[in-house]
Amino acid sequence: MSTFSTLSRLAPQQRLIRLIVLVAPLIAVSAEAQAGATLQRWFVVAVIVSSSVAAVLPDSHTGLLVVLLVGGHWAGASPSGKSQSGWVLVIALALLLFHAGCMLASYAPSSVVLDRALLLLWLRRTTWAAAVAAIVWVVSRVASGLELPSSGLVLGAALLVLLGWTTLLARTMSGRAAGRG
Amino acid sequence: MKQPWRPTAALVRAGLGSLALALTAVLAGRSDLLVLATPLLVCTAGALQGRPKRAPRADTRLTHDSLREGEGTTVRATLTDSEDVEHVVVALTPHKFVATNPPGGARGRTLPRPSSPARVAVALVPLRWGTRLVGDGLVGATSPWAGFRWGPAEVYPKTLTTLPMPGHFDSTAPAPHPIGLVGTNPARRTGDGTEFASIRPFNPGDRIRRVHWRVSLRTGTLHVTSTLTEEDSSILLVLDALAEIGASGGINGPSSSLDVGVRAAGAVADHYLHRGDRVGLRVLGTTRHSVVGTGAGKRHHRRILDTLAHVTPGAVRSVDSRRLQFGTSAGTTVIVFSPMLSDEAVNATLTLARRGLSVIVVDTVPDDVNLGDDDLRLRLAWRLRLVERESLLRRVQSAGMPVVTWRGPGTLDEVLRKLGRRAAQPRMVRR
Repeated sequence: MSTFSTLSRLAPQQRLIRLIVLVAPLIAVSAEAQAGATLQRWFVVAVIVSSSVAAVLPDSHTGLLVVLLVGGHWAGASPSGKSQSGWVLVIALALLLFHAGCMLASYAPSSVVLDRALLLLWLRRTTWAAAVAAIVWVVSRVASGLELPSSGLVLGAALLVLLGWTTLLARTMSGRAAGRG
Repeated sequence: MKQPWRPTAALVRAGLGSLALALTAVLAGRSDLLVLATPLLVCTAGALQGRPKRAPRADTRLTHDSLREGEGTTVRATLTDSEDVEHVVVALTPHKFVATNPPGGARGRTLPRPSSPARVAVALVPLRWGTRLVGDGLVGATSPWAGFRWGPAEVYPKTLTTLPMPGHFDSTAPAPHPIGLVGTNPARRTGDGTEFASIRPFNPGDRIRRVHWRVSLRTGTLHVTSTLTEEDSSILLVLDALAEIGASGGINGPSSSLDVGVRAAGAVADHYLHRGDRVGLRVLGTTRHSVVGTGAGKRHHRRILDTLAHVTPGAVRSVDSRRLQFGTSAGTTVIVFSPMLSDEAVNATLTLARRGLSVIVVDTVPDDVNLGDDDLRLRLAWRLRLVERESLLRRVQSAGMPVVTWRGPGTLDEVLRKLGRRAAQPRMVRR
């Protein structure tokens, strides 16, 4: 009861953030459908329910369930030959948006209006993460176009390179002049 | 206060989500799953990179520990050892009669660069006189990339004394029995002053400039104008805190009887102390800080306001008027602020009158009493209490004490003038 009374007193900014949390997984599901994946009713219902719970309780682990549901469904239901389509990037960005939304909503009590500095900081970080995802997608498209063998070994090596790069990127961003960037 | 940093749900989500997707990508040879994992991988790397090493410590401080009603101050939450902190949140516990800005009492602040100590301020305004604990609540901190969270840690309350905001009061009438040394009230004895007393024959030692030439020429002997000396007076304020009638809405809302009494007493004390008179205070029905001796000056003024701020209504319900020590000297004017709803208050007032003091009763029942509930039985009970009050007020008035309703400036003028005239007449006092 108290959760709902808290929700009714949400600041407009928090309402917007929670709307993003609610809508972003649905964008991912729509992108899956656009990419040609078959959507089962249980899956759609599960995504709607879990994203609604995540919007109400952004600091819970329900968000992980949403990520695993969407990612797992894509892994199992994506049409063969279309896995490198642009919709993959849309799904990745939607998941990023969902994650960032949950994070922003859980920074402070729901009555708090997050300051401009924090919003700009996360806009910058989200843009960086989206850019890295786009680069990885381009590389995978190029590799797919060149018909390079897509073995687990190669992907494991690619993952290690990616991990090293993201760590370096995170360190660079942490050490920026602004201190937070 | 030392609390550890804990991983956030965001880090768990990004870490486990990206791990599951990346592992599946490697095991299944699916580069598209690596694309899905990448943004979460970046977030995880960022969060782990900013892993905090030291736990901060939180404390709060009030900028002012004493204010007037309606004045603002800030609660400053300070986080020391906060080099690993990116965002601080302070959420104060809401209290009655304390308004905060922002309204919920919670504020977050992003630190532009790693710094220690980190500070967040929440403004608060006490809306009613009194002593209350404020500034308690929770403080939390988040590390860069929202990877780890510290707290929420409890911060403990601080005492804030809110002095009553005196209602406007002014009086042009002199106090009836000025018996002090130097003041502004015309006394009964003649001496140096400005108030005309009489024209009398010249005595050795009289000043030449006091000679009244017209009367001297007419009578053929020197006559001088004599004046009344000016002295300070002694005022005792008696506040009835045996009960509080009506619900208080703070400085901007409806007033209770005690609100009216406390603010009126503050205003009267303010007025007389500024005129150089001596003022004392006695609070009926409060457990501590109930007596302030007669005195003058700014420090004494502050002492009276502090005592008024410590008034607790109904802390003591019965007062034995025979044992009450008012510490009054002859000539003291007593002003009783009371809703006159109890025998104890009436008996205490009558006791003062029997000692031969000039007593004025200021009725503190507000015009429109806010009973706080639209219960018919409550309204009926209140009407019965008003009928009882009428008989109590008649007892007071029949003992020769004027009863006036508090209306700010000029409330006491008429009764003080009447008391001044009565003071010059002979009377019988029962002792």
